[in-house]
Amino acid sequence: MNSMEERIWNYIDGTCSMQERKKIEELIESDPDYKFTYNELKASEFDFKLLDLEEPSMSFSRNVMEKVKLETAPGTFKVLVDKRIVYGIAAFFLLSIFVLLGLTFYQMDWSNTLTFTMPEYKLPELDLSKFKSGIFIKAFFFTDIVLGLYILDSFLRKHFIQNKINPKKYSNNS
Amino acid sequence: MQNKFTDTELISQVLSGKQSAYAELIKRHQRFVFTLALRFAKNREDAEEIAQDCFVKAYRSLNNFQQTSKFTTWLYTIVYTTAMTFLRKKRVATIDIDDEESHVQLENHISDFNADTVEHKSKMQYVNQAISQLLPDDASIITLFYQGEQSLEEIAKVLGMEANTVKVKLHRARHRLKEKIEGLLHHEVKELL
Repeated sequence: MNSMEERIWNYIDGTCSMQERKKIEELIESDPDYKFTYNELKASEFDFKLLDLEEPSMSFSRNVMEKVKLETAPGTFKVLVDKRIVYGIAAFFLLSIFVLLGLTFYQMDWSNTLTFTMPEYKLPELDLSKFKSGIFIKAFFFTDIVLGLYILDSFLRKHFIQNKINPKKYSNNS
Repeated sequence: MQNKFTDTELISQVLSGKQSAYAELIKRHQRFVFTLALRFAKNREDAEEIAQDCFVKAYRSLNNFQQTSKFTTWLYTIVYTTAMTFLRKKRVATIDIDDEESHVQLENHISDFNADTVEHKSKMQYVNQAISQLLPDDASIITLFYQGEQSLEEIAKVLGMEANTVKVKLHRARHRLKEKIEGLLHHEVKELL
């Protein structure tokens, strides 16, 4: 590409200085080559502006929104929470643990350490017979089944949505 | 009803928990994002996948949008990086098939082209056909400049280049596009004679 073309493009785009602009204007007026190239490039610019924007499929927006629904909302507490707050809370708990440990050691009677014996502790006897009643077992299994169905439902729902959004990718993955 | 809101207002609504506002943002920018993706992918299926990924990524990091630039500039940066990653992955996976595909695509273009006549083809179709034959970088710079109404500085931000480099690339891309259009018209005239 020659410099004349480049200069004229700069003039058309408005990216040249005022001084340069004046100079090119004069050249377009006086020089037939400049005038011809200017008209040609102006026509090209008109053509470039004719370029059409392509239309995605009808379901594009719906598909994106279905994917977006699976994402964590960008404004939620989980996303917005500052890391300094997390570190602050962690520091508070660590400090509390150390203070409690310090206090415990401070209040400890160190003279008895040589005669230390493990205290005897007897576990209470567990009477399982009262849990073996029919109602308890039924309630236990009922809760398990409900929880299992809930997990299965959320798993299948997620896969169903993914399959609907991108069947090709889904079948490739599975 | 939501059309009166600016991009920034819609983003604030999304961040405050109104997810439906994001659908409005998608509707507003989907055509351009898809077109830009198509400049890289060269087929509608891949372009649609890239465009969808872009909107999901943009949603995920909407919090990080600093609003120091236009939302579109930020969004097009995501399109560019997503498209580049997609192409890189695809090139690695199907490097051999790719050549065959592009050959077939080119053949289809030509046969498609032969079937029509000048009378039935508007200038717009020629320009669209010519841009589809350009390299992704050239095609995307032209699309960003003319359809995306992005300044040279904004394009530089999107592509991660200096504004002066973009200026030179734009000049070259326009020159190549002009040549392609002339080539197509020349070919058509020859066909008619």
